[in-house]
Amino acid sequence: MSVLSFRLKGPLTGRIDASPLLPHRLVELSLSEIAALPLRLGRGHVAAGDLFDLTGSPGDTVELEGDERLDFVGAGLTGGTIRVAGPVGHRAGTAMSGGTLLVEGSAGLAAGAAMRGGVLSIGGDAGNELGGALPGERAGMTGGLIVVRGSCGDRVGERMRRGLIAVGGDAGAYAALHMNAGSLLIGGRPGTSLGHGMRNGTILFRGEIEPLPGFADCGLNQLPFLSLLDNHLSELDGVPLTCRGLTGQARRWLGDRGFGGRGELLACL
Amino acid sequence: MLLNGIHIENSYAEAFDMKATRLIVTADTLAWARHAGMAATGFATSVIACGCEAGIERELAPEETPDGRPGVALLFFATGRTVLGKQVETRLGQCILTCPGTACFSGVPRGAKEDLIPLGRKLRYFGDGQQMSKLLDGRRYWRIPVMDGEFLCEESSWSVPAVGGGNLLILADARMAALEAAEAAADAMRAVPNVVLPFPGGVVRSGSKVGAKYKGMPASTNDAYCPTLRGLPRSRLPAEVESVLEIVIDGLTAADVAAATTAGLKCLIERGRGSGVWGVTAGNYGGKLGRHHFHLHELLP
Repeated sequence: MSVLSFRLKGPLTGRIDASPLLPHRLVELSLSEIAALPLRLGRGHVAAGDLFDLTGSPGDTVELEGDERLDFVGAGLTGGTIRVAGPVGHRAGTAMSGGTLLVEGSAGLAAGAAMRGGVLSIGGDAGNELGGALPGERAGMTGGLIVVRGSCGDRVGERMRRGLIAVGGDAGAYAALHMNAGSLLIGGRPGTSLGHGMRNGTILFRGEIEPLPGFADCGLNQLPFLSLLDNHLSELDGVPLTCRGLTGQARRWLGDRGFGGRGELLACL
Repeated sequence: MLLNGIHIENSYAEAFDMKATRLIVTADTLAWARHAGMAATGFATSVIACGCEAGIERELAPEETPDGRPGVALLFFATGRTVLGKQVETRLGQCILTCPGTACFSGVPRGAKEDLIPLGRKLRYFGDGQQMSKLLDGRRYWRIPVMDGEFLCEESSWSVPAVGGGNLLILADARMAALEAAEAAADAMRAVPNVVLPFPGGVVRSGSKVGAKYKGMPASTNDAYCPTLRGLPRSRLPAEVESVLEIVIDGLTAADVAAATTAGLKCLIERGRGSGVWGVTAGNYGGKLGRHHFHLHELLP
């Protein structure tokens, strides 16, 4: 398995669009062609070789030195692996449909937005709109898995339709806003307005909350599906421990009935 | 051939191609999983009138099941995929959905679209719009609200090729000797994976032949092996045989049926002539109806 590594030569002077650095695109190029690859920097372009020291050879894995100004890392990824040592900027893994994007640090806005498949793993925190929808789109995430060890910002899983998001820490306000289906697991504390406008889907969390008025309290329930989900999580890499250990017991709210929804909030024991 | 005093006839069992599927049914306790399994595989002894042949393949420990609860593996066999799907659908809806605390999963690898056996795919409508689905690892599960909580059911299973109709005929000196031998052999054969013995306790006393003197009877009593008729010229029984019992075997592959046959033969031969068993033979239709022939002399332990 060959690995191609990108090491930053120095501090970035502006925001970089790193979306061309996808394994399946780079594998067709030679090292000199990759070094000449133009990357958007602010309003202009800069050659990849001017920003990064390249080592290794193109294959199914790309290693990047992370920076908060590196945007669109792994955007449109279809296969292979991208490993980022450090943080990434905005829209990491946007619209990815396969492969694995491993970010050791934190991610900026809209990581994994409109994701269709594959795995996005974030070692630190994620910003607002994690696994959200692209502006103007009816559906957000439609497949794949997002795992965040830390916390995430507002509007995680907005308009989500399929897939699984597991956040080890807390979530911001309006989590799963207008969710259509899919599952959102919050290991820490959920923020305010949880599940506002959701039509279907599942939000799992722990602890006490005061749900929005559109949610009907269905009391404590034993749900065999939770054990199945827990088994599934145990087979996945890097799922935070706070998301694990679902006993099958959960308090259930149905809603958001103000929107004709029949999604569920599950306060897991 | 005489082994440990037991006559092993130079005969063969004739078996047919069938379609099969495996369901895994779990419940809060093994006893309730068993209740569901017994009901779902009840009245499924022979495709002649039951629509399918079915049985409990084995019991499953919590760590062997998808949801970590005790369960049973059920095998269903039918002549084709369509009739198998229909049988599984009605049995799932009436016997597994109804049983307290159960959940139901496919027990075969994902197959082609044309082999689909609907499970929750159709049963979900029982939820009357309150059902929810979850897609985990490419498999869809339905959650149907029921009065004791939720019925969890995988969306579909798949049919796989199978072999049905393997058999052993146990010829004994007395009725109780035949029964005890059949019980012991059935226990040994049930331990073989991928097979079920669809008849009550695994044993049949009314073996049949094809056709009858009456119009409209597709099968009738196997008079050649009826001890009360042993004086007739067409009887195949020696004077000392007073009772005959048959064990029918359905398996996922010919090798599974063969392994079960061998396990049964081994048990009977080890018990020996002293157990009251005179001999063992197998039933066939002249070899023209079924593609699979299990020759006893080739399957000796």
